[in-house]
Amino acid sequence: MLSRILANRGLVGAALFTAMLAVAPAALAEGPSVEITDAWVRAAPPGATMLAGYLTLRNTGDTTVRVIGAESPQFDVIEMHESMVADGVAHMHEVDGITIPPGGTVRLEPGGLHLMLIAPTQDFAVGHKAILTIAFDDGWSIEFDAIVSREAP
Amino acid sequence: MNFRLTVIAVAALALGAGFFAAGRWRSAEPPATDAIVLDAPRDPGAFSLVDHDGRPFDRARLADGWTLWFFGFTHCPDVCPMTLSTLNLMDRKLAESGATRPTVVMVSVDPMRDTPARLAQYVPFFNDAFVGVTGSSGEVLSLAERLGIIVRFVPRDGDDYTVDHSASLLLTGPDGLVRAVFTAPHEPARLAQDIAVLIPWLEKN
Repeated sequence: MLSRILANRGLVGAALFTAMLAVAPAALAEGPSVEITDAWVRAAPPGATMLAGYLTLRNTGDTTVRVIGAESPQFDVIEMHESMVADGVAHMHEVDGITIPPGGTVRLEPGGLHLMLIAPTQDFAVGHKAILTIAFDDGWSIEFDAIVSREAP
Repeated sequence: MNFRLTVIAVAALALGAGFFAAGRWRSAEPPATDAIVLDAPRDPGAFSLVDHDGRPFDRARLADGWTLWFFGFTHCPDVCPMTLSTLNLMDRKLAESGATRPTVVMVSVDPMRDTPARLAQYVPFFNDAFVGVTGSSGEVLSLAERLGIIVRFVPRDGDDYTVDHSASLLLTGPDGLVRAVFTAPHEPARLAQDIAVLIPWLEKN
């Protein structure tokens, strides 16, 4: 389902995002009015089976948006997870969506919401870029680069 | 007269002892930090594990100095790399300030998948002074239990699983006893500052 949506609209989404960087989101007639900033992937040793991706999503539009998934040709699977510490114990659970109200900002950051990047198909050294795509429940998607870094850039 | 002198001497002694006890009590009060300093140090008992170079990691290894323990695993995308990065920044701050640097040890709570070779690839990536430790599941889990570290295996898709684990850091001294516990969240500057005052205090108390 997700791949079909991306196949149908992925390129449009990517083009839109590029356009959004250049023009005011309000000028767009449709598609997600979402700004992505601070995207990065925590550097991990070669051979790491799982990486974590972080980003800030800002809904610049006037309707609620919901992220329902993510994917990348550079990873087998990407899941959305949330880490938390409850009673001193760190645990992690999968989330099926991330909702951002109009004007709202959601931060995916260490120790909280993150993209779980499973089974990378290549090694990611510091300074490399991962190319990630997030998909929204209305069928649109946005492709973006996430810089590989040891700490939040 | 003699009796009166004796009474005065005893009173003076009692007063002195009182002051001594009060002073002693005051100096035994740990410095203000985010750490929980244990009134009764916790004894991890004997254990027989292996480090990421394949060398035995047992109680005798702790005698070299102070050790800061973290329990984690390599199939952990978010919390464990975050904690190892935090510990690396802490270690750099301690090195810069010339304070005692505890040996940072990550004990794998996933010994089935975390072989010494895998830990050798993973742990030193964050700091080449850090030591990855694993062993038989029985040894690892019983040590974790004695240290009050909770470990829970949680199934994921198929044969995959993840591990919930205590996020606390434990500080042991050269005698191998747990003297202080840091609960999450961990912040590098705060950890470095706390450890820089705690270790000298724990050495005297």
